[in-house]
Amino acid sequence: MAIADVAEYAHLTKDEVEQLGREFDAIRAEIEESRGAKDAAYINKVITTQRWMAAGARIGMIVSSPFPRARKPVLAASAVTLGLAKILENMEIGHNVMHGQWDWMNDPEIHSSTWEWDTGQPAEQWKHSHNYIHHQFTNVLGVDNDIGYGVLRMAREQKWTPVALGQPVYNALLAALFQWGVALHDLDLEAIRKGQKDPEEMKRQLKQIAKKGRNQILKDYVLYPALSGKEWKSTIKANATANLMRNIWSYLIIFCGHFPDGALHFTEEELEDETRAEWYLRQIFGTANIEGGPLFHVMSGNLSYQIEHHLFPDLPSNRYAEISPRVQALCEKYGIPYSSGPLHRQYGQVLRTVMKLSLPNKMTKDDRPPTGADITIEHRRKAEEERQIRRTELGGWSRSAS
Amino acid sequence: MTWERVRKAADKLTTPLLPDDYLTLINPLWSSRELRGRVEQVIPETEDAATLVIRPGWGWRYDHRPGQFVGIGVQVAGKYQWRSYSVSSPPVKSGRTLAITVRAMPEGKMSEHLVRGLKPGTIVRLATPAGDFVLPDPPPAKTLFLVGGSGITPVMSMLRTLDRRNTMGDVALHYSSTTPERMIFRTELHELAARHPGLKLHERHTDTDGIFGWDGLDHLCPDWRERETWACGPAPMLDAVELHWAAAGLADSLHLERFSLAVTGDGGEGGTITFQNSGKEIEADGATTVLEAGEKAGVGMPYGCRVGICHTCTVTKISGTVRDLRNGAEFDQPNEQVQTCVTVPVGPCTLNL
Amino acid sequence: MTSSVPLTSPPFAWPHGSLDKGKVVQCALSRVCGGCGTSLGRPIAFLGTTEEVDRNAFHAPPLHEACARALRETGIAGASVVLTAGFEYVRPTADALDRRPTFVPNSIIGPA
Repeated sequence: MAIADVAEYAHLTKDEVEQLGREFDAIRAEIEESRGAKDAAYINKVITTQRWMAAGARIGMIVSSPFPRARKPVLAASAVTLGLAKILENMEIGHNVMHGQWDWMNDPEIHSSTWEWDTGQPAEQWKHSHNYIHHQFTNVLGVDNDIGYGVLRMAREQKWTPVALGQPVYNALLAALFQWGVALHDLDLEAIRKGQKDPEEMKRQLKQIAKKGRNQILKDYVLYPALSGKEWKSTIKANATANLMRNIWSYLIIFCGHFPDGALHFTEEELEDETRAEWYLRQIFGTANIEGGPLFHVMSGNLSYQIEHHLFPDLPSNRYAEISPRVQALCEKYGIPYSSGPLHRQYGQVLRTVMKLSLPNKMTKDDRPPTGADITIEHRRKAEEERQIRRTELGGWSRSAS
Repeated sequence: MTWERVRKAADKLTTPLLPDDYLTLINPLWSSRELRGRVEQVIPETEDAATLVIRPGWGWRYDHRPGQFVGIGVQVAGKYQWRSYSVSSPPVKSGRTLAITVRAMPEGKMSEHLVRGLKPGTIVRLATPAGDFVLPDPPPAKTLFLVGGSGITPVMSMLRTLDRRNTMGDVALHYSSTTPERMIFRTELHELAARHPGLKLHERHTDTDGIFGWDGLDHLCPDWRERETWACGPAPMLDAVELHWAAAGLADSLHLERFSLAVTGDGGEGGTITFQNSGKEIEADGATTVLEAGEKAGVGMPYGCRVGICHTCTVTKISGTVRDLRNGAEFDQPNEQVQTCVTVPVGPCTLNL
Repeated sequence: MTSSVPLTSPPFAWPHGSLDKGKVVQCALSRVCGGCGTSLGRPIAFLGTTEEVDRNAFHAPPLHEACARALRETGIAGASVVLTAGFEYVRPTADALDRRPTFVPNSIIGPA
């Protein structure tokens, strides 16, 4: 069920909510104040490491091709390294740079306005669908397209249709092809299905996606295989493996951020006049963390600190770890649930929801804590006139246009 | 050009990054994505001033005009801070380094860092040379330089150029500084004066001699009215010089350089752009890039990132001047390669398209 | 970097002559320009009154440098332009008299 009034649900008075807000502000101010050389060195090191990994993997695939005995182990190592490099690039680097986490460095090469990432979705569309829609309307039913990615039924409030019966299959497909699921994300599949999408805008977006997707496919499935000569087939396989690794991993991390039982949904009430403190509160309720070691956090782009990321989406990701205990302490102080668990448990809950919601509500039991408003939401993006006008005129987003 | 082509082809292999992004792993200077340089040497000049010898990376053209300044971006506490400093080395086409001379200013965190905190080997960002405080080629027959403090740096570049080209002619240099010790390039100036009989050097040490009164100029340099004059120094000095020259009705022969000159991405004045091959023409204002103007005119303009990174949009400008919106640098040479996505016309110009 | 995408008319974040709250949030998070609605560039420009410059907090969303210059002429949001590499988006608090979000440049490059 969905929450209509966050403060009321949290059993906090208005003053308490504002007090909590000030405590989060203090954390934010402290991090902003202390951003410096160490943070800059961190992101530069991650970027350098990632580029060496990617270059090493690509070169490994090419140079090992004439040597039958070395081919297999080198190829396997290269595939895994490339997969890890793609994960690092998409999550710890690309995702975070595009949030503007590193804009303060005034480095034109690491800036939200110029970053293009190694995946099918054009950066510009990601900044709309993710930075804006998902982060502003986190878990708001009918608005946040991250709820099920327009493919899965992830909330009981979403209307059941027999199509949902196929959910376990769609889910597996979405995981395997996640980069393309993300690529189509800003198109808003729900809106297209309902015929609410502006055809001009759709055409423009599709063109952008096709251009970027073509370059991505050309690189992984034509050019590098061609450079491997006779061994082209195995290089295709290795690249496909790397992409699959990245797809499944990013799917896992993203789904564990908002669909475990502890992450709640909201209705669209009261968003308009929400204060900063209420917004903080909604972010905590709608989000869940994943527990793990330092390497796990880096490889998840520190999105395992999903709560901290949603509270402070544009603070440098390397600082989430130190904020986390303080956020937890505040949650405890104010009696707010801080939803966190190891990957297997969080994903177990996600999978259970996927399975259960493939069936009509009456056949299953809700695993989420009772939250109030019992409603059914049809997908409802704002009516055309109240909705944000997407720009229609744009140059090529891609640096490799020509 | 073939190397450029190879890099462009390699682009498909490195997309969405550029080959340069990987080449910098091997050598940080192997990138033309942003102009970079490596600090090779930090040479102390006086107690509070130092010359930085910088080896620029790819994309740098050693064609600054004597007297121009460059932008230098240095990471301080994780943030790139940009300042402009006059180039003190003469332009040498075959050169491998350029030199800027910096005085640590009280309260000037950045200049302090450049003079005392910068280690050889540090990678810095550079912006193309800019500024119109320049010496024409050939130089005027009679020249007067009025210099206060570290205002010597652009003038030094001019004097070194005159020395190198052996075109010193009749030059008077009036150089004020608080003390002899704080006088940057003092030894080198003495050497130059000894070598060139045409170069007359007047030193003034304001701590002991007091500040120069401009009515004393007739005595110091009786023919100052006949000289093309370049003045660089602190604002009060320049204000006084400006007044003095204006009063003499000689404002046209005076060139001023103010220290606090900020490099801003000021738009150009706009102008008519002519596309030579297609015969098309369009009027563009100072806020419309050459690329956008061309697109409006229906010319098939090449473009990529549209933000000045990828150089896909680079075309040959046959004549006229365009200004780079990022740093105000002007490109006024015939048959010059310009990035259309970040430049605006300054007056009429013609493109080879 | 200045992109000089033409302003949409009316400007993206001022669809009815005054700042639209939803658009302001969209500009903040999608990192698009309040003048033309396309992706921001470098540097990021903020347009405001001298008071806004002095307290380093702006109501108008981030802009391209060129869009800021163009908007400055219209007088829609003040006459001063500040350039920065990055900014903080600050949502209003309940006790604030002014219930509008503000933008705080965090890496100021200079005036324009």
